[in-house]
Amino acid sequence: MNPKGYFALVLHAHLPFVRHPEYDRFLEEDWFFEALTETYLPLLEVFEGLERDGIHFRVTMSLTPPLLSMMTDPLLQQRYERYLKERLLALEGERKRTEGDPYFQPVVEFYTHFFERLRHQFVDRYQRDVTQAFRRLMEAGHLEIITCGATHGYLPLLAQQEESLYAQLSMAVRTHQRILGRRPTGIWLPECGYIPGVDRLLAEFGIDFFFLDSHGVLNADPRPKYGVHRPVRTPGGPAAFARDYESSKQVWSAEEGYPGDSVYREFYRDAGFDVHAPHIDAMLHAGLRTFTGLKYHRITGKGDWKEPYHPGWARERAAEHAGHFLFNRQRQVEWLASFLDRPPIIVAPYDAELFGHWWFEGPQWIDFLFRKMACDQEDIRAITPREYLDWHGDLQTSQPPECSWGAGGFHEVWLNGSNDWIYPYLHSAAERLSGLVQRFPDADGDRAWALDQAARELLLAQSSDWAFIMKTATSVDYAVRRTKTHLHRFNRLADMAEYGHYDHDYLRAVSDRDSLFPDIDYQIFQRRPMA
Amino acid sequence: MQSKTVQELRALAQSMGIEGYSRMRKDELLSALKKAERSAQRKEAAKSKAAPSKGKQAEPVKPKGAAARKKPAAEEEIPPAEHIERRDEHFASEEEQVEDAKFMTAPPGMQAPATAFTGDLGEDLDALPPVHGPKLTLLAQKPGVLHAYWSLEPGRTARQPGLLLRLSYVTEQTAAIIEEAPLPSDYGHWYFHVDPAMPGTEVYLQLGHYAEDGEFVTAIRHGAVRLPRLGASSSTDRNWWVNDEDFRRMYLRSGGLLRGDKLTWPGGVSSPGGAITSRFL
Repeated sequence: MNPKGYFALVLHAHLPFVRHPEYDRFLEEDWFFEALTETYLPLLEVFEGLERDGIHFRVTMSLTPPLLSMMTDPLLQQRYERYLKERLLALEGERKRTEGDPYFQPVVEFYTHFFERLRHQFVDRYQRDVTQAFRRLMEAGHLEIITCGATHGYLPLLAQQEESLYAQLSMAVRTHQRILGRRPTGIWLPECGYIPGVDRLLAEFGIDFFFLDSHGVLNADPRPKYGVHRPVRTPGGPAAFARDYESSKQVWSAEEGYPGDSVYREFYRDAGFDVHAPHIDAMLHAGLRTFTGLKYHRITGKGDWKEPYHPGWARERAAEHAGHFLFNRQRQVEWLASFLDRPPIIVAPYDAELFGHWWFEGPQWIDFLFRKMACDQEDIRAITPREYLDWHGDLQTSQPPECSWGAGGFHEVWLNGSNDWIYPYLHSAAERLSGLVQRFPDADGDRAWALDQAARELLLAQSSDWAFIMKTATSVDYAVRRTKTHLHRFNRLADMAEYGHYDHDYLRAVSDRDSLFPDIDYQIFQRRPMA
Repeated sequence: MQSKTVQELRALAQSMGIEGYSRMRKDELLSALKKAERSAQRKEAAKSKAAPSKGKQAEPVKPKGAAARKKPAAEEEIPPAEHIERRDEHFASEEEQVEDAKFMTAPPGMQAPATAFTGDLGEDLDALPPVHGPKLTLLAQKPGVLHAYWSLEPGRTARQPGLLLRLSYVTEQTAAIIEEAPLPSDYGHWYFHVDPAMPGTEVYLQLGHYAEDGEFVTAIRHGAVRLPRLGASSSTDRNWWVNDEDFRRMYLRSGGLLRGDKLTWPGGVSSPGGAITSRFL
């Protein structure tokens, strides 16, 4: 029997490129290690479990080029192994400390098993390279892996120089293909930032679909007959899928949403701050208190009093919430099917790090959701956008407006008083580089080396994460320093290429620091005739 | 109300936008006014639920004018408040909170450890190489707000007082000035607040001064920038026909009215952004 509608879970996995070989340990590298621990590895475990049990499931996942680069970087792989070893060592101390404690000993046991499983998964099974596990699931047809901007550059604010958009897309497609072995057919536009014309560029790179926030399709011109429930074809060719507001709300919302449930794990309470013992201090960075990832409490309520975490209860609740979510999607599809003449698709996109890192039980919820969807009902079926286009690809053509999925729906998260100072620099650097490309179209030797590295520095400076961090005021200092450092490096390298005085020690040092995109070619910043 | 004359009632009806008031008798006028009042209250209730006043907000960002002018059926009658589901404050920040949590190394309120990162290849983080001028750029931030930055060769504003930024719009027939702002420094930022419902879809920016004969002399010009728009399209596709009622239902249920109404950060007021260097931490 044909389902009444389809469901596409879209997970956007991304972290900016943070890798500091010049330090033995580096605090901000923990962003990546925490995401591996709580999100990427647990998700892989869930997907592999579903595959093993023969459960039909489809997940669309963006693995951004910086993330792929970090996942395949030997230094970070080694450091993550060290990170896991340190947790396991600390947990031995925790077992002694909590001996006989009926509330916290079981939580410590739970974490011990959790980290042992992770180490086995990461070191023994994946040989430290998680990209190959994602790749295998993609090749088996369960996962649709899509790409993103090369460094998650926010396209609407880089569009002053079309070269920047071209470079972001070109390097993204190239990296995706190098690491995952396939050209991407879909893209998660960084922050869903869209301006008319981007669709035309996407088509040049063979991209067939991308995603917009609800208002990006609802307000498209002419009116989309199916609202957000079917994609529209953009004038440039690729299809634009819209976020479904109802299913988003159920997962994101603090009040009605699932992650705020009182039995789930509390994100902010951490042994790094709660426990003062030498085995905990051993995990800290230069003695500074930081998150360790050992979080022993459940949300409990709004107050400061937190009860001990109970993994079994939390798992039960994740199953209930998955059932609730599925029930609501069934009702939604029934309602839509009552007046639409084609099967609707419900697109539910989330930051991947919501599942696991923020909402610790999120991966279990996904597990339950697909099991219930496959076994308990026939109204709704999991699908990828690619499959939907293959089967139901007769789309209405409509022009989406400029938009993003950030707060307010436009660009103010990345352009406001806290971060607007970066744009004169980013724009003028792009202008300068494309000028150099024009002047030295066939550079080789040192000049090519300097120009290639300058292109890396500019891409890294363009990462939208820095502007985002400056706005939300967490780790602002790091984001400001990173932006300035890349701009400085860019200028010095551009000077070298322009004037022909090369400092080889510097070139070696900077290439060793900012080492992503080994196959970069500065020509990606080539100025092209306007279409 | 009963004590008012028909004339007064008609004036009132006119001010409330009731159609056909000039042909109405007194009792008809009274009932029409009562109805209009109820609907206004409903709108008010919907609005106050919808827009917890942000105080500083200089202009409503939802282009009410545009909605009224273009009159998409979806907006003509605001549905009862309980059907409007708000993408409210914590929902938008909920996503931000998750993204922010990716970069968190300590709980909020705790002193986050300082980063160890210093540019160690001779980068002077207190000074950035200058942006070579002259440059003038205009970026759309959101409906009704545009951001301009400029950079001139050092000392230009001192040598030539009276430099202005001039923002204009163009339609097919006309071009008109929206705002002129004095240029306070050789480089800086400026946020223009414009009526989101203004005619024309494109604006352009000039940097220049008035010559003695009153002509505006343009030194740099930034080409047309499209204003971001909110609200549903008014055109319907013949081949993909959708009737107003179905579209409106889907639109509301999909959160279509709930975007672009937040203005929470600095940089949202029309003010000189300050010299670039003063922004460095």
